[in-house]
Amino acid sequence: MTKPRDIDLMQLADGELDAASAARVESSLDDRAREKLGALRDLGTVVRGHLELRADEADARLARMWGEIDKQISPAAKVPAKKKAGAWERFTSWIDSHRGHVMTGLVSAGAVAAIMWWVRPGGSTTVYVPEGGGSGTQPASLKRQAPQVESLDTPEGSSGNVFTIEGDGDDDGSTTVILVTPDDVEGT
Amino acid sequence: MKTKRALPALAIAAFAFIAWPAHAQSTAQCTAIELGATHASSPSIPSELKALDKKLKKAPLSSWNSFKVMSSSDFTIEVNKPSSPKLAAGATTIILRDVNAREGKRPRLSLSITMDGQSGKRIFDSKVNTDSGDFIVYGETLANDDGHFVALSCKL
Repeated sequence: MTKPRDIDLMQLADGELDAASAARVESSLDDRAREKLGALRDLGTVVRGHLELRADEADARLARMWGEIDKQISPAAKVPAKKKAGAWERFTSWIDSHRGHVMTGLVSAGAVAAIMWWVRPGGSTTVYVPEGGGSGTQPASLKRQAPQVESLDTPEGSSGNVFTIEGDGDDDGSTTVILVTPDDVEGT
Repeated sequence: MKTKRALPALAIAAFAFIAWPAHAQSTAQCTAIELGATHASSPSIPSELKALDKKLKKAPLSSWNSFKVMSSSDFTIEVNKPSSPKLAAGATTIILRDVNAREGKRPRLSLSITMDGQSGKRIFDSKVNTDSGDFIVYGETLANDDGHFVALSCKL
């Protein structure tokens, strides 16, 4: 009975021998060879376990890579045959691509409109009924304001005076009188 | 790029056009009555001055008791355009500076008024704010104590 060679033990440990060869090698094993065979099987288990773990890690990385590749490939694959866009589609597309400008314009316009509304002259002059003609009456709700002389400049040698003659009521407004009197007349 | 910039500007212009009232009142119809005022034994106020009848009997115009109409003009004034109704003696110029029409109140006119006396010299230069339709009476006391006035009324 021949002593088994290391290569025979390794093939036996790895399951690479056919049944007849495996039986022949196993029948020739002594104690030392059995220990060596056990050590080889343990070593094989460790190496396979290590490689399987590394393979699992590689699988995860590959899955991510394929995901990225798939994303890049998919849009191109999904592009349908290009059809001619209508006027409305072109308009909405333009609005979408210029949304920032459109919103800025609308907000600005709204602000300006609010300001213009706020500062516009109050009331309506077109519904005002002129005095003195036809029925000639003013709406009683229209309040009168006292006349106001902002400035009065007279040349040297004369003096100016401002008087306000109050009216009797709604139909009779106040009258402003500006009276300039030469100083030599005033003194007489 | 030009379209991008033009859009906000167009929108603003459109909203401003809508929000602003169609027209601001920029003209007024005026009447200028030139008056000669004297002291007379019998008071006299012509019928043309009926609208001023009560005022002519109050100070300071009550210093005179006889009035006569020397001239009368109806004319239109426009914002920032001088108008000079013709007077029998002297001259006057009226400028409508502004019209302020606020809800619940009578339209308010801002006027610049100047008057030159019979001698041609400037008598006064004034800025007056008055309600539409109210009278402004302005003029001078002459050397013989007679009065020379213009009664001005402007309305929208």
